[in-house]
Amino acid sequence: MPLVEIIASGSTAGVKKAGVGRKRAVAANHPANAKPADSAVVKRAIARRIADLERENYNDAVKIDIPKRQGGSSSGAGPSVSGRTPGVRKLLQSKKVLQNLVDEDEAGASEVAAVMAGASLYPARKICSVCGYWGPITCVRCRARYCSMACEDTHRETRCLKVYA
Amino acid sequence: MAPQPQPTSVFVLDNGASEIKAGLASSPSPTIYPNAITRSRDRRVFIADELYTQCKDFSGLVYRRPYEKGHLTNWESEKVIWDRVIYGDGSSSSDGVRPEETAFILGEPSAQLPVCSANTDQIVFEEYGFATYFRCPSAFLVHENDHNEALYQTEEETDAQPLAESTKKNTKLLKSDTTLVIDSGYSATVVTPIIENKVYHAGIKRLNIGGKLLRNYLKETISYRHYNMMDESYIVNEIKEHCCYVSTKFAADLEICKKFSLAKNPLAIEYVLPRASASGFRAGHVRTKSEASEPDDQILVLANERFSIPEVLFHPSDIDIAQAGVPEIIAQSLNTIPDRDVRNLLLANTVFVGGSTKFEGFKERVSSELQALTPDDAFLRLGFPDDPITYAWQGGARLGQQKARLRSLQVTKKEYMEYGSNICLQKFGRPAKDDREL
Repeated sequence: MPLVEIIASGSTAGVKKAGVGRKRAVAANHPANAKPADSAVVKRAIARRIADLERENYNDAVKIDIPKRQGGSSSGAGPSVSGRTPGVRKLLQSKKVLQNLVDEDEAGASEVAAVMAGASLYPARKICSVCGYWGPITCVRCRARYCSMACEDTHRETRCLKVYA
Repeated sequence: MAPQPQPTSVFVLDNGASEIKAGLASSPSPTIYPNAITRSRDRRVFIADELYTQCKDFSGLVYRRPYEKGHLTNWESEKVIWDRVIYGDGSSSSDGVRPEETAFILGEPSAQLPVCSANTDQIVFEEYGFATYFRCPSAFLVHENDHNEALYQTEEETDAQPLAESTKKNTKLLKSDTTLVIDSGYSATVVTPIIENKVYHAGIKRLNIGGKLLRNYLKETISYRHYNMMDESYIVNEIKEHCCYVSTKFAADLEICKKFSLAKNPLAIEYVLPRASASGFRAGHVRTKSEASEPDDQILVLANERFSIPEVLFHPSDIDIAQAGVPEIIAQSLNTIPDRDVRNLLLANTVFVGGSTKFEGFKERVSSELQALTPDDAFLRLGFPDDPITYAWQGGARLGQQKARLRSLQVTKKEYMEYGSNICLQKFGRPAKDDREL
């Protein structure tokens, strides 16, 4: 059995299908009617994509419970559960995620923010978002790059932000 | 009170977000454990190395990691993984560690959230009860390794001036107490300067691109252009390791990929995707020219994806990340150091570690770009260990053998019981303000 299935047009950017009529969608997709997205929308889309690239699993809702092993295997050699200090017990049950810890510790969070590398001194390059070649043309609607009319079409059909006025 | 027993052995654990490197300091090399709890498609759950011994089908594997963006946040999962690492798998033949008789050296990622480090200290003493404990950024363990000449030797000397000659001229720069460590790991790429045996916190620079992001970017690209592989983290990571390289001439390679069709492109390679069948799981591999294809092979042809993916380490702006690339963040780190002599020292003692430095071409690319960013008269000596994954652990093992030095750094269980977790923050933590004048 093949592990992966071929998909028709690979939109993976998680673009939300807007719930509007087909006619209106077609009209909005026509380049003549394209409305430029405002910069806040574009910024949000970029931030969302970077967050997606940092994910551990594509399906973020995946939950794996700690398997209970009977008879000594992994936890048998450790101290008995009853001998644990309250602090450790709390820590082992903690469901806090990074955001909680950052919110609780302002000084620590600012230290962590201070080590982030700054922006480059050089201008960003222009890479086609479809095929990976140089992309001198900018999509008027979503600011993505592409290199040719073929890539432009693919871009519009798949990834371009669906922004409706 | 009973006298404190002297620790009889030293256990070194380099706690990477992706892989734990652990073992007794007396052993020649560490054991490597995935720092994850994983679940296969048939819903079996594996703790750490059980993945390699028990899992047969790596497709659709999902991960739960104790780390989040390079910070150790979840002890519920890290505890069961550490239990395996420290106590062994519970079989009678395994030689587990007895913490109360053991000195513990722990390497953690640079620039951890302080509360995460404090939680770790608490677990080490109160849950495991190690006799003595020393925690530091893994970069410090790298620094503790002996950077011998072989580390810096290059196979072919591209420079007009042979290395031996220039090294001779600069012997006063070859200091063992100062190292610039670049760790391109799973969650991020971090530059950590170590000056006079101390981590210089104000100079740490972190680029949010590591192996995980590269894997996900490749996953996104393959899924957009070829097959939907968004759920195939493990398989795409293998593809990344087998097929990707850092281009030393990005523009030219891009032109080649534009000019030739996939069939004729000299840079294109065919990857045979892994397959699960009745006879078991067959791993994926790069197809060689002579290899006959089987009828139900699924072939993935990769061309500019091979070098465009690792390219974001050098140009994060290609995927709209507003940070500078690896050579530039090294420069940013050096720019925080006011003294020119110290900067030159760091440049002459630079070591690259971490999985993402293993890309073919990484060394050449970073060397040439860093040369261009530094002053003409700076003497660059860049070290690329043979095994950049275990190099930090090896440094920890070396530190573990220097008993007196370790004694001056560590905290004992008795001290912890007496003074509480503050003693760890004081001894291992960064000072509130860097008071050293540079």
